[in-house]
Amino acid sequence: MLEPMMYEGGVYQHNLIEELVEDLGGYILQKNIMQTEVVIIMLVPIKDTGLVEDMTKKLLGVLTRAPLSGTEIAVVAPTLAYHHLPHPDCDIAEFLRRKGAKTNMVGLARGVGARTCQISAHERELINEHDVAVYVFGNFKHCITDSKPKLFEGIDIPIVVTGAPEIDVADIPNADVYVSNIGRIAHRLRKGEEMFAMDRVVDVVGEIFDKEREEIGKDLLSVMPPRVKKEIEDQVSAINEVLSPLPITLRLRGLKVKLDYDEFHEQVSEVSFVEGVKLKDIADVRRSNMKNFILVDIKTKSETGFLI
Amino acid sequence: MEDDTIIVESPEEVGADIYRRVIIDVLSDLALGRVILKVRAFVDVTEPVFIFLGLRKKGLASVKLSDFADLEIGGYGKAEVLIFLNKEAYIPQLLTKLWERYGRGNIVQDERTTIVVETPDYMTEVDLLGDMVIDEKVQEINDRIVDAMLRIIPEGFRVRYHQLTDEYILFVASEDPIKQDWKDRAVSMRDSLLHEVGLNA
Repeated sequence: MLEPMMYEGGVYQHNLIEELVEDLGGYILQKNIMQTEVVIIMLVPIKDTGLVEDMTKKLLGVLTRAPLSGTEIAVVAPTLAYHHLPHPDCDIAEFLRRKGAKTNMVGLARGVGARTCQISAHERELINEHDVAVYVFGNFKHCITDSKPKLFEGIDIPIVVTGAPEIDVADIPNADVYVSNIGRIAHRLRKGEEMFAMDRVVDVVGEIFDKEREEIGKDLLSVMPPRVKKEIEDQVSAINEVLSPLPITLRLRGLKVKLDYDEFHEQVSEVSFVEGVKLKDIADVRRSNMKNFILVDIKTKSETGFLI
Repeated sequence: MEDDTIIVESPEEVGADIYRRVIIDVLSDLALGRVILKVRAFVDVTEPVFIFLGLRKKGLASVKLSDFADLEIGGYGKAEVLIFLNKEAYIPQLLTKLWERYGRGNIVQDERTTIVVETPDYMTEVDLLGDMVIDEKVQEINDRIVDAMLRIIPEGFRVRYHQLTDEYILFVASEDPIKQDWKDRAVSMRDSLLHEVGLNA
């Protein structure tokens, strides 16, 4: 069992952490160097977290649990106009990223209005490529309970909704969780109750992932996504030239490889493991709606019949 | 004492409270706090309608050329008007206006604070130039008010009706065609607000 963790510390000797984690059989998911500071998001074998903690102390860094690591979250706004941005959408996304998630902001083309709001098939598919969708809505109960649920149609992933009033989640069709106190806000979210509300968003998303992981535990994936990530990095050299901050983004049940589908999907399908299987045997490799990237959906043990 | 500067009414209390906050944020972002004296708003998302009414502060005179410069006719035999500037703040706007009217070639600015306008009608132009409006404060503020309106009203409400005068700004917005009821309501809100501060509509 791997524990998602985040290391924050100085750049000096941070490679010791990386090497330790890799030696222990863990994975480095993301490394961001910001001038003299470094933030590393990683998966550490749960029984060895003590060793990493000791090393962190030695390097005078800070080690925290990052429960959202290895997930991709869509933060959905009715549009990308100044009514929604930069507050609170960016602030919510920021809070999710701080706990290790990869967030994408999705601004719908025609998500505004009570009667007029709509979502296109393309947008729907794009949102479905994520692990969770966080819809950021406004101040009025009627809007959230009656008008906006149209935007959830066809979304298969768990849906978190935020808005200002107190609403029972049962009143919002198709929503899984509702978080109050984040409605339309035109200033930076920094007051106590706003911060609490954002912490609450992070908590509920974490709970959703815990449940999802439990589900995955019942029928394990044939291979763990971080291992596929490592193999792709070793075998598809083009990935090292990708400038995106996260060239391979992990999702709960797969990954997104930020290479052109037409050019590289065969190479990615042919990635092989020491056990003698190829990626195409244990995963579906398909086209992503996002910039023609490659999506890898890992099959479960019940489908392939084995685990590696 | 309860603050009655900004009052938002709505069937939904929470929504109204937060909308009040949004209005405060937008007005302060655009530095309109001193321009809009009182605000009354009404939101009903079931209709759906949004009514915004803002009372404006008066007395924003436009800046004329004679407010910050002295004008003279050029020396004997010269068909020109001399402008001596006392303030440099408006030079860019002034030059743009002069270029527009007389052409670039006829405007000479050898010194920072002296501008020479070459024109055959210098006798009449000198008076005209004195009254030329250089900085339209009202226009700029009107632009900002309209910008604030667009930020405040809910995004989907694209059908709008408005009145913009020196005394008030009135906006009715919805996503359906504007009903006469809403307009009537807006007008009665306007009248009662104007009455409150002792003005007649």
